[in-house]
Amino acid sequence: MSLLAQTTWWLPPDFSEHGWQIDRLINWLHYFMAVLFVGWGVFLAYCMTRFTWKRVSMAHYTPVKAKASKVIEVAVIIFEVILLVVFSMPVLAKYKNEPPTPADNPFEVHVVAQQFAWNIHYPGPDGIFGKRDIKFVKDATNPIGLDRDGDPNAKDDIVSNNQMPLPAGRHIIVKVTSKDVIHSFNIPMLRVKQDAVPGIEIPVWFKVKEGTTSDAIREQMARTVVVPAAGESTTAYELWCRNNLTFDEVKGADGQVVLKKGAEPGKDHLEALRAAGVKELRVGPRDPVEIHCTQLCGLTHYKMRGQVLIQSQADFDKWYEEKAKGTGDFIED
Amino acid sequence: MSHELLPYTVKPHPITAMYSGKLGTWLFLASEVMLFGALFSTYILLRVANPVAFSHANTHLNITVGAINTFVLIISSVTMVMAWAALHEKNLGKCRMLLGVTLACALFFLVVKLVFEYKVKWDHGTFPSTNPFFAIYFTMTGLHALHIIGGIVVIGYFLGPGSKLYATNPEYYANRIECTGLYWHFVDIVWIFLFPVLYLL
Amino acid sequence: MSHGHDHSHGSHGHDPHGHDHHEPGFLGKYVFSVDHKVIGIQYAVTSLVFLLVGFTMMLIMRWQLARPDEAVPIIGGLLARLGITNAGTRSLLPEGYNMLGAMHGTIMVFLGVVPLAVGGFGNYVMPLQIGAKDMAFPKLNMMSYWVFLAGGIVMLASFGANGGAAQSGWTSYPPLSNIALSGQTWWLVGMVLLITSSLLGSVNFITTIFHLRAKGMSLWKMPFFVWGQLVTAFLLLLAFPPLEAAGVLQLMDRVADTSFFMPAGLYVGDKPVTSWTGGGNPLLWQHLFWFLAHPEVYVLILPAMGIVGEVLANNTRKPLWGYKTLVYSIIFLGFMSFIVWAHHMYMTGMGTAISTFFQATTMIISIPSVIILTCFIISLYGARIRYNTPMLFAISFLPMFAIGGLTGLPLGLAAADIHLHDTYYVIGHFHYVVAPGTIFALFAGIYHWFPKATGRRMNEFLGKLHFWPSLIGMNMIFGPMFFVGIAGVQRRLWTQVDYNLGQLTQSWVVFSSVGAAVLGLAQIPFIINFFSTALAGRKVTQNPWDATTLEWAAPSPPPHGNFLTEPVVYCGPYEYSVPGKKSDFCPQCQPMEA
Ligand code: HEM
Ligand SMILES: [Cu+2]
Ligand SMILES: [Cu+2]
Repeated sequence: MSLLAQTTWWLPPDFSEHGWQIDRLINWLHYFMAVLFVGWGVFLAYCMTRFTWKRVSMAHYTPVKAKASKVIEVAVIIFEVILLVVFSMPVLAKYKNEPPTPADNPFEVHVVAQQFAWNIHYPGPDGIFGKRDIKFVKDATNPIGLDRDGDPNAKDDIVSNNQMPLPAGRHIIVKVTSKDVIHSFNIPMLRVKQDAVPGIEIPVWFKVKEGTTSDAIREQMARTVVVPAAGESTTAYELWCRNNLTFDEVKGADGQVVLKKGAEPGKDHLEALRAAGVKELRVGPRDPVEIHCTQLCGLTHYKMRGQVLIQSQADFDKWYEEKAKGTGDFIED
Repeated sequence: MSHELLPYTVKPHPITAMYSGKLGTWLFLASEVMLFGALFSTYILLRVANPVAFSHANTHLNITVGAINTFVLIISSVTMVMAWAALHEKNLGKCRMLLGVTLACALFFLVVKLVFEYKVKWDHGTFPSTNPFFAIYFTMTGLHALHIIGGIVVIGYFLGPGSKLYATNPEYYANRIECTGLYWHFVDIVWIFLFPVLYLL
Repeated sequence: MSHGHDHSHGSHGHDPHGHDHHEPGFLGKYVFSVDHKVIGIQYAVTSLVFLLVGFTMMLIMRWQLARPDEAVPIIGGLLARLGITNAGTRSLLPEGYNMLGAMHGTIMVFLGVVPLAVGGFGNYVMPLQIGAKDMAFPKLNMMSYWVFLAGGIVMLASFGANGGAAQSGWTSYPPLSNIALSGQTWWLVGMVLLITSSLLGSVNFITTIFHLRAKGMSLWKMPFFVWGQLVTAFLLLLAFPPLEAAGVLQLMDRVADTSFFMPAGLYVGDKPVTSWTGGGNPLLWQHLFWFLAHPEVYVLILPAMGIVGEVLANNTRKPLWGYKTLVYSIIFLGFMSFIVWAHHMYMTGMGTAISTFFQATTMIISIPSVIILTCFIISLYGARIRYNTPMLFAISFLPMFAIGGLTGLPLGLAAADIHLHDTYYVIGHFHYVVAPGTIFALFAGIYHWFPKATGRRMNEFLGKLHFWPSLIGMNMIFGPMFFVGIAGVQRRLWTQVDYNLGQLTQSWVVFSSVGAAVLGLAQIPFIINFFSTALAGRKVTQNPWDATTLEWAAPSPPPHGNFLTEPVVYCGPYEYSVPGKKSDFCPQCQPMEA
């Protein structure tokens, strides 16, 4: 039952500035669909029960000169036009045609997808991206082929694997491309999606709501996991603990530490948890905002998972400076 | 097995003004137009994306050989029509002779294509993989050549064993020659598009 | 139609190939038959087998989704030999999941639904409904079937290829499909065969409908089913060739190393790509593919609508409401379906002008679907409904198709598609159209026409035992997918439990898999019913449903040549409950006055 209580029914939370427009469109569309469906359904149910073989002795050859159908059709057309012209086109236009201007002081990041990872390329403090060329690619140390030695602009560039720290409250431009096959760069909780097509670099832009941090989102998405008693199924426990971290230190009755703060509980801890008499755990996702790959890209497409680490601008800057110093560094996930 | 032909196998339908085989052939050709249409679109797209490869590569094609082949195919179309016309003069011998000429033209086209074009390119180390131009060149002319081979099989059949039909149902036989002709003209027209697009532009 | 019947010259000719003047033997009668009814049954039986195969693949995948990485029950060991499961743990491998996924899609669409709806029902019923003796080109018809079968065998055999069957989805997007192992080549060869078969078939269908209608059967007297088949045939004829072209190009890319779909400068795995020079464009494939594949979805739905129309009219005992509107709607659908294809590509980075165009056409194409559904539902008003098994399936098509169609709207509007594209929402959407939609219509057709093909009527009790659990199972499977998709979980995942949003919706996934098992079990009564009726079912008269259309004027099963006397058509297809008549139906082949 705890499983059902924590299951979602609708859109995931949204931490972008533009996402509400997408959500609003999705919601209104579903209201509209519900009205149509219920309308049809009620009429269908009425006909199905009213005009049965027993209750009717002979069908009507021409029962209706239905104006109703015309009315429905015209209403549907009007509604669709409104949705398209008022609620889809402007949203899309903004999403696609109106990049942040230099006055907005946008922050630019490049994403180079590959089987099966997201390479995130930051320009470093100089703000200029170093040149990339496949002839420099080295799988483990230089996955995007950054010209570290030849291009002075590349010296302070930061390349990160699957980890994508981003500042909240600042315009962000992501230029998406791929090294091999087509991937699709998707952050559901920021309502961002863009195919990564090899040979083409396509920009998307968005802004994370001011004041958002990954830590806060983790807290917001916290859940309580029941520790199964011996002999009970552990499926739910394992599912809900997967990639989740504890918020507090978990201590047994005797005061002994069973799980440290920020540890990932698993099957291995079960016995100790039971022994310590712990009935429930409060956990939250290790990486609350994830990058999905929404295009089938090969064998372990299902594992192509990146993490967006949302920070305040100040924290982000600190991280940025730090990393940029370690020239040639490559950040593993 | 039914010994009776279905309606409109031989006589035209009053509304479509075609016998079934002819309607079927036109429909088939409509789908062929879509097939080659898709390939021509691909050509345009590749050309726009690779202007250099395209403007240089076609200088490697032998325009003279291409032109000769174009001429031969046009001749074969004419003889195809004449073969059909011969049946209206009730002259099967002449029809078969003309079918023979058509067949010879088709074979000539294929041999020239293979020996004086494909082979020469292969000897020079030019393959479909060389660049986008040769990719589309070999694909389109190759597919066209397959259509020529298909035509050869059909024409050969009506020249040989298929011509027995003339004795029992000359009109039916003439219809089949007409349909074969429609197909053959189409194959011809495709080439007439291919030649300037690949060799001259 | 004054001279519509003057084919006397033609029919006196001798069959040039009729050297065998004896009765055909077993092979000629049941295997290499040119009779449209035998070919129709061959198509139907073959495609039912393929539907079962495609469904079984999905059961295995549903198992993996619900119990990630656990041993596949029963056939887990067997599948290890094909490299689909892990030989040790017997759990489904990711490559196995991708193979089964690609093959499920391909098989369901090209080897299951289309051959059943068009090859099976179209072949069997359409000539009967227009009063023809056979298809216009019987030998071509036979060839269509054999080429289709060859395509199917190639597809199945590809599991034995080096590295297994194709793994790039039924959409086979390059560069992934270009760099894939040899299973992809088999897939392409299989597709070229299937496309060829469809093209031959569509030429045959159109010619037959235009040329072989019985005397008096004007276009506006044709049953709705025939109209559905006609529009479908045009879609197949004109939409398939570009995919064939695309297939040839991909084959060239794979076999001759051309770069139609390969840009320069790729780096795959741990080395740069050198076998392709580059210069191509991977999006070209998507355009060519969807130029076919959008019309293809109408190929999946139009014959189904045709069947539903027939069954509804027959069991409401009244004419279809808005018959002409319905016909105009499907013709309009047919035309429009050629200019909506890029709504599958909103996320590829296309400009807003282009995406606005495709959003607009997509909204426009939804209108005729709304009209069709509305006409069908209004047809029930003032009816006298007979709830037999075909009618149950046909009626439930309506709300199921409504869900499928409505959920297409959010996917058609690019702004909403930003969130929904390539998520499980898409899977839910199109399956509501093709599974509880089309498949239910096909079941309705099987129950409806079974008496025509065999002279025996299927058991009603088993029929209902088939219907109700199927309805429940279908909704259990596909309903939850909307929640999974709207939460943001992408499709084609071996497991979603690593993702936060995946964990939050995993209980839906389990629920959905239980539904798949329910649906599977629900097919047992159908299979029993099918075979027991064929062998020993209740014999019925030539027209057990008191139907009006021409197929019921032929004996059951119809002999070679179909009709005992050449039918002449006097009235429209659905003259039920005509005021002032004693009987509640007036067959098309009888003068109204009688
Ligand atoms: C009736 C039982 C069916 C079930 C339980 C079922 C289930 C599924 C599921 C769960 C997927 C998504 C797999 C994934 O993304 O990993 C899928 C994909 C698909 N299904 Fe079905 N399906 C059924 C019937 C059909 C039918 C009748 C058709 C077509 C006429 C069809 C066509 C497809 C296609 C084209 C895909 C996409 C394959 C791909 O990703 O390349 N399915 N099906
Ligand atoms: Cu990917
Ligand atoms: Cu579409």
